[in-house]
Amino acid sequence: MADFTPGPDLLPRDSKEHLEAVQGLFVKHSRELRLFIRSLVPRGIDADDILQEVFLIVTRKASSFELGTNFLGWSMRIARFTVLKEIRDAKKLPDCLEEEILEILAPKLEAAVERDPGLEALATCMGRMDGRMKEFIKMRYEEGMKSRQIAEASGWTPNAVYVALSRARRTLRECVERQLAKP
Amino acid sequence: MLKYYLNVLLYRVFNRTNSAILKPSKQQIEQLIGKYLDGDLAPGEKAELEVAIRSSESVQDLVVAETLLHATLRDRGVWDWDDSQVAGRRSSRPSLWTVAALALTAVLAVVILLPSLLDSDPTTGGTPVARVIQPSGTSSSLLVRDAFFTSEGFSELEMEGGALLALADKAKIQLINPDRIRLISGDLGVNVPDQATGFTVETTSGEIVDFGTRFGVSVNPQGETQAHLFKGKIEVNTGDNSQTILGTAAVSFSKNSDIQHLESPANQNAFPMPRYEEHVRVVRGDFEPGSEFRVSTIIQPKGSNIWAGDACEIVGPTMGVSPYRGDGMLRLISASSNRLPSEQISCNVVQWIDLGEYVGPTGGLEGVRYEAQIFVNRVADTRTRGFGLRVCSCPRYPENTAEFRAIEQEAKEAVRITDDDPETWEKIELSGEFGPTTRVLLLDISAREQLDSNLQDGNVFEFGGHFVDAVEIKVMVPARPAQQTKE
Repeated sequence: MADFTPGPDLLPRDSKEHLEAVQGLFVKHSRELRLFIRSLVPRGIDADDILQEVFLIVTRKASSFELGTNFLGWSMRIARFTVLKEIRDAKKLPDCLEEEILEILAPKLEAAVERDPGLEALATCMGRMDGRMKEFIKMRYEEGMKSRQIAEASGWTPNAVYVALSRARRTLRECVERQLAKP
Repeated sequence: MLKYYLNVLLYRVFNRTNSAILKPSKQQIEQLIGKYLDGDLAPGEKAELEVAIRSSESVQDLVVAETLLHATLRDRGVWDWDDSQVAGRRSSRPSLWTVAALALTAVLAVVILLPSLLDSDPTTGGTPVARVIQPSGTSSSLLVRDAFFTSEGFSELEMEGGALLALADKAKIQLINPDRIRLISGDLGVNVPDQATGFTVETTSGEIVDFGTRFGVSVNPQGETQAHLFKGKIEVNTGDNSQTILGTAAVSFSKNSDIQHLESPANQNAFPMPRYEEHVRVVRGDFEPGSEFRVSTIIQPKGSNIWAGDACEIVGPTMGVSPYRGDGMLRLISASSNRLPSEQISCNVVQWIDLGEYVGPTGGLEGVRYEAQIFVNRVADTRTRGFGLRVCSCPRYPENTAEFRAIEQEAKEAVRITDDDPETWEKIELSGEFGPTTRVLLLDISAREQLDSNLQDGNVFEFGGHFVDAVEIKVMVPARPAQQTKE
């Protein structure tokens, strides 16, 4: 999924064209960046605020990026540091994992985002889901219900809903992998 | 490390589960991750999950996969997708999804990008729905569907559907599609040209649907919405209530509440306003027959808005000349107010036009540009050959002839020598910028004699067949921040 800009780095790093090229890459990869930020901090911090901050940092540091190298990797590292700084500044985020844990997860997350297949295969797989699994996924993500609310609505226990959703997500992941493996 | 195990231990003791630190089952891990994603982890559970992550690479991989898919599913784009799109695209390139947002930095604007959406052209990185307009009028940044935009200072945006937006400092919007935005907070001014009719502004309180309009919307920190209509027609919907508003009015509303009309009038100067252009009303500018056409002395009572000047009349097709449009045109007859030849050299008709509608709080029309045009035609005539168009911007209606003459000195004028083919109409155009003291405009149309052609020989028209039609004036008002605070 990583996108490498073609051609050698011919533009002067301090030129307007270089800056615009870097900003263009940001635009191109904004979905993945936002995904990365949201995955690192699912709750408690506004991913859009972080993304905005990352955009400004990328703009400021554009001259240090070499066109033709891995922009997504570079910008995700900026995003990682920005997220961690936000967590430190926020001091108390009860829903957030410890910084040390996030440091463990971040590199894996970066790699996973770079492999992210996009949404088409996922949409296909969602279209193939049925039954309670699909119902729970729609309630959780399309309607924005928490698992406890789904439990109340369905008569299941919350723990059973957590597990059901986890398995529904695994089913989707496996389906996506099969889709991508198709010639 | 110790504090994690301590937390876990305490958690398990208090929850009367295993008294030792045991490896949680897969199902327990799934539950913990589910609670983490929902924000429902108790402190001990959080510590337990952290220990599991720390000690197991497979748990790390599971957390990464779960959080990534969780974040993806929360994106609206997934739910906008339908199977027919999938079917139609399956055979094409594998990655047709992109998202994107904004492009380059606008000096005063900061743009935040939202979720991924379908893009019809994968090479562009997103379907733009709006662009940021620089003060120079050039556009700088493309904004895509669902992007958030937070204004730093005054910002102006042009929607792909044609609507123009002006945002006050700190105003935050989300771009839903080319014809719809959500105002999250702050003040917004909207100009909706005809082609963008139906443009809609959502707020947490309801929505405002345009029907060809200029209006302002504000959302205060309590979530209450005010809508000020400056011109045209809007419909306000709050869920339970709906109301059509015409002309100028100011209302406030909250979700499912009544729509309250405000005592204070709609105040355009209290809102940031985008640039807009519109035709100024010229009374009888098409010279259609059947309507009253008064011609009086040049200096008119304030706000009279009628044609005044020398001898002229509305006519239908005559002398081989047909109106440029409609059924009527103006025939200019003589250089005096009676129909007889005179020693004057031009037949002038004028109209005073009040521009108070466009005056800003500074009292004038600084920065407002205008374009005036008329169509003229004449038959063969050895004595006369030209037409003139004058525009004069004035601080007020003249009180007397001397003041009028002084104003005339400042007029801007275009003169055109035309052919004598009655089949063809020629256009005369004039453009310029009003001054900071302008409040009134004098529009002056004339037919010109040659200087040596004054006739003294009796009852013939001084001008042999001179016609004017389709008078138009357009004003271009620049974008500007709010000039006053709302009451």
